Amino acid sequence: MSSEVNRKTWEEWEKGVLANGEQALREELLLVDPRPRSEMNRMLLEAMQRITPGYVITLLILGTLTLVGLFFAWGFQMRWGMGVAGIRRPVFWGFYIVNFVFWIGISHSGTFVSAILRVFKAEYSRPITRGAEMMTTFSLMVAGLFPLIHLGRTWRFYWMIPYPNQRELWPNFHSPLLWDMTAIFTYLTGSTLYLYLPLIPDFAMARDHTTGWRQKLYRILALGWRGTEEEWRHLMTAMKIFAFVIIPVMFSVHTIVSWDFAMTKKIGWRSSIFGPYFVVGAIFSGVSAVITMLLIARRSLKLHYFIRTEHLEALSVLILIFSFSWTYFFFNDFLVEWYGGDAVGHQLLTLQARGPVAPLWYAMLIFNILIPWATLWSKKIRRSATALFLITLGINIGMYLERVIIVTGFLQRNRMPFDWGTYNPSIVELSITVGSFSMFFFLYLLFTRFLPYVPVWEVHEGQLTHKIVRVGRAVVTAKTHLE
Amino acid sequence: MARTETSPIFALIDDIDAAARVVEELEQVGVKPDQVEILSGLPIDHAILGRPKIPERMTVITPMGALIGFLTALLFVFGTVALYPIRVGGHAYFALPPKLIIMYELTMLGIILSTFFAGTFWESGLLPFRKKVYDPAVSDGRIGFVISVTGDLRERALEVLRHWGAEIKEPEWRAL
Repeated sequence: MSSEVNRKTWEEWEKGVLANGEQALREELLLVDPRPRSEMNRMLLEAMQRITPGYVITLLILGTLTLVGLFFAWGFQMRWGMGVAGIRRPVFWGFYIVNFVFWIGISHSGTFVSAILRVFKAEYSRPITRGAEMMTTFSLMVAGLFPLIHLGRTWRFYWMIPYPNQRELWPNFHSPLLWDMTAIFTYLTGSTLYLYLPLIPDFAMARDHTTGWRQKLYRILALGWRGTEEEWRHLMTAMKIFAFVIIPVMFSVHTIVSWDFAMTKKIGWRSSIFGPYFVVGAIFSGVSAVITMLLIARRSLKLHYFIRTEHLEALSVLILIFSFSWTYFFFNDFLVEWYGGDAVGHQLLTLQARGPVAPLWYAMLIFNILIPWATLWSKKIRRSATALFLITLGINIGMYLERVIIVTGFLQRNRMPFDWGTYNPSIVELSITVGSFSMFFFLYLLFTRFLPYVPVWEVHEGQLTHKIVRVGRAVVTAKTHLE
Repeated sequence: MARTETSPIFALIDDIDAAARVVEELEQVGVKPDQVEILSGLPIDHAILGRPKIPERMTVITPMGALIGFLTALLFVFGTVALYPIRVGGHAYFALPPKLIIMYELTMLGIILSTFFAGTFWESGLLPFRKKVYDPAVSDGRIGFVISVTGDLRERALEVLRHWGAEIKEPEWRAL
């Protein structure tokens, strides 16, 4: 009798524990918390049509800053010449190149979060791929402007394009600048199409559930998608090919950007590890920016069902790993210069540790190493939206400072001490820099209301393949491979 | 449009398992696989529904794109030097390593463009604005069956669909 009572109590207790465990898993993990497809579609469409006064005012401010800060200042520079910029001998590369490298770095976010995690079947990335891919496309658009701005005589940009001409002049295919242009064109084309491909079924969904101009727009963008077996098969194959192709292209782009520096004879730049150092830094800042933008989008679009703490936590672990990796490369670069015995190299290190660049250098170390290492080991912090917002914002400030130091700092010292100098960005350069940030945020926020921010069909597919199962006294998730 | 003998049957099913049974029984009653078109809001592998595998030519198209990109790069990097040789600082006319970068990037671009245009558009038959049978319920997760059969076979197909709880609808020809 007593054992029967015990058994009953145990069974009741077990039932309660399992139910609670299941409930906790559903609250935590999107893929085991399914909702009807129509409800998910509705949530996303409502988010896309949520145009509040705050949103409109933000867009207006960003749009004005882009027009005035970026395009007006750029026009002013074209009218009066490069003299209005702060670049002077010996610092001939200033904020334009800093911005170029920074935005190319941010563009690595989409490829890393979307393509690499897709290839490795990291299931949690399903709802966040679109937001990351959008970042890649828009940051590349912004990055692509800076070589044109830096040209000075922007209207001569077509000299970079190989075409038969009466002067019989051809671009120099041995120049890193031409490699840059080719690589960026390939990457921008690839990442835009890679953004577009998985959007087609979502455009069809939007076409089916909207009216008026939106329906007309989505009808064109959906290309007559019906979801036939042929369409799905070819889409899935194309997405796989794109995921595999875009990864090496991503690596090549930032490696080539690093060669803009490493191919010169400049002390501090001429380094064989600049390629991987730049790539790791780019992924570090890119993934950090994904978290920042996901948090903004989640709040603005009210997408708390789709974008959960699990996603932020998983990405912040990646950030910690990339902070370690970036530090490894930074230390490599620094140590070789330190013990390399080159007098100019030592001058560069002194400039960073005790010279005018020191505040930027220490701030970079604090934002990129000290803060991530001191905080992201903690699960509690990794799960805090506010903390992650501040940490990831700090990392991108740190990464921006890294580029400022490498570009404008290292140019201040060379082998001829009479030619040493300093650099102060002009108001035009600062204005264009602010304008470029505004342009990125403007495009991103604008398109969150036009492009379905979450690939609903991918989430739905993921939810079909994930189940909660019981193993012993625990409830855990299990994945089925349907391919 | 009134339902006629020649217009296809259009039916919607909610459940994948039921859809798989419908596919199986349609075949049993004599409906050929190419007379059935399945529409869905998410990718369902052919093996899940027991449908024949869709042939595709991506394995040919993608290498062709790569080859075109590679040849374009060759034309630029070697053709230019051959046509307009400029001797600079004792450097070789045909320095291979820097040219490899352009060749690599354009080969990748060839893969990207061929996969997108030929692979996705041409192969999938994604041509907009043509009228096709469709229902918005498909993008809400329901599975659509478009069955093009006539006469006695039509009746048998309808019977199978009804048996598995399909909602049989008037086929809507939409300009998508």
